[in-house]
Amino acid sequence: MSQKKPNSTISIDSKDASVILTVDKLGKVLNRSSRGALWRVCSNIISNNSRKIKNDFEALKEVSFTLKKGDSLGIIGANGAGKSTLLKLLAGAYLPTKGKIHWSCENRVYLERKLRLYNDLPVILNLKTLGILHGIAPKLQQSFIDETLEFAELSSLAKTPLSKLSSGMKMRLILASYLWLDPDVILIDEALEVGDAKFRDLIRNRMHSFFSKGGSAVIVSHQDKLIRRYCNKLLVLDQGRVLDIGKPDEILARYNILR
Amino acid sequence: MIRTGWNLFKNHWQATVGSSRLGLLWKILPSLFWCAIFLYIRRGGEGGNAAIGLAVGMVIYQTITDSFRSGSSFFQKNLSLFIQNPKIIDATVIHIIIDSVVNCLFKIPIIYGLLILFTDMSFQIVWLWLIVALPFMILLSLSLGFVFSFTSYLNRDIAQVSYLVPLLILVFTPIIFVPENGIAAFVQQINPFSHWLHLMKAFLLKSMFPGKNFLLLLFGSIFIFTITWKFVCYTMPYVAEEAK
Repeated sequence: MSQKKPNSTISIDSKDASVILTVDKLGKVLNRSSRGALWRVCSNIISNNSRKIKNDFEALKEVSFTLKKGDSLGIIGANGAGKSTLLKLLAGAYLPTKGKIHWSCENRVYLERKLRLYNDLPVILNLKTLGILHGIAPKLQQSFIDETLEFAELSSLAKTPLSKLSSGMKMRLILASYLWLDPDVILIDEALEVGDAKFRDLIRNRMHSFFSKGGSAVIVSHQDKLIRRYCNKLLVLDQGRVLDIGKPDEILARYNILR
Repeated sequence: MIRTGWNLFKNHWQATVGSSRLGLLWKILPSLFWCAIFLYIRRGGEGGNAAIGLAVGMVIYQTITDSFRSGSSFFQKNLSLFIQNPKIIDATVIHIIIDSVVNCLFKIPIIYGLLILFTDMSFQIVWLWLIVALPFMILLSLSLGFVFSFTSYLNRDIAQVSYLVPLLILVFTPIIFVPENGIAAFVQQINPFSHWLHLMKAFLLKSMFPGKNFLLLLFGSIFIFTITWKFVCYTMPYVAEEAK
């Protein structure tokens, strides 16, 4: 990574009413070892994540930033920089070791490249489950299922078990369903560039209409084209630290991370 | 949360029952299979009532182990879903409770049927307490399952041990044998499942109405279950960090 102008000090104005996410001096310690997980977890629970254990490493250090309503924040960095860890912390799947995360909106979804649903159930029942999990009113369930299948172009495979779908099809399905939910914030971990060119165009249109309605996003990606297309703010992570944050064009020109 | 859990159960029920040819029959077939074996043994003549007692015991044992398995696969089956949507953990617990309770309710008519059809006992109103008792007993086995889910997700050796738990439950509850002394007798004495079984025996065989013991077991099981429920919710982010 060619580093030219580090700017990791970010001022936080959490009193601003338009701010929907405040991340303040966030730190996360993870462990690289695959052994002793039970002991490690018990020790972390008892000491509230404060005890240092062998093979611990700081996945994130002093990360601070804010997200305003309508903002789309891109996160870039080399492999192992802490991008996915940050997103998991924002999604609430991990607990911070240090610092704070404050959301002022409830309706948010987290989208990974991996589809986490019931593989043995048919597509239609998976969509029904998704609808239930996201609290869609029963009278809207059917339109959610129909419109999602139509958007994902999978209507003909509604009764097929999810396991029989290709990974691209699965991603189309989940992306289409999450965009139907119309959340306040979408957290996306390298999951936007799925499907064929036609589907990507559809996603592009849907994402632009999502942003035009005031939706916000945090997008982890390795693709500069995607960052330029969707993000109005870009954060560079380097070995767990915020290296820089600013406008995507300026940042991308400054760092040689994405090609 | 309760509504989401209920809807999840309905959806899952529809999927599992609807996708198999025998559908609802699978809820009772394994228990009927056990009963058939014991009824076959009974044809030998001697110990006929003991065979029926064993059959009833095995049906109750199956309700315990079924819910233990549901609990012990909690993180293994759902953790990846929780990572994507941490808020659904409580609804998933509700879903598992409903699923286990419904599965156990399917087995109660088998127990009644065995006693009425194959013994000289006639139906007693007090037997209906079984419908109340059995669901609360499965809360206890779900709790045990939740603890094993947490430990076995993080430790492969414990994961292997968890396969032995149903066998240990069989040995350390008075289903097959009641040791008079030794370690097995001591473990049976302190094992809450043994007390549940004694209570059920009292309902069914002695037609005794529930007393203090029933309330103690009922509230004790609810208490233990609530603690383990909170425990799995609390530990989820810690376990997620170790996700495979």
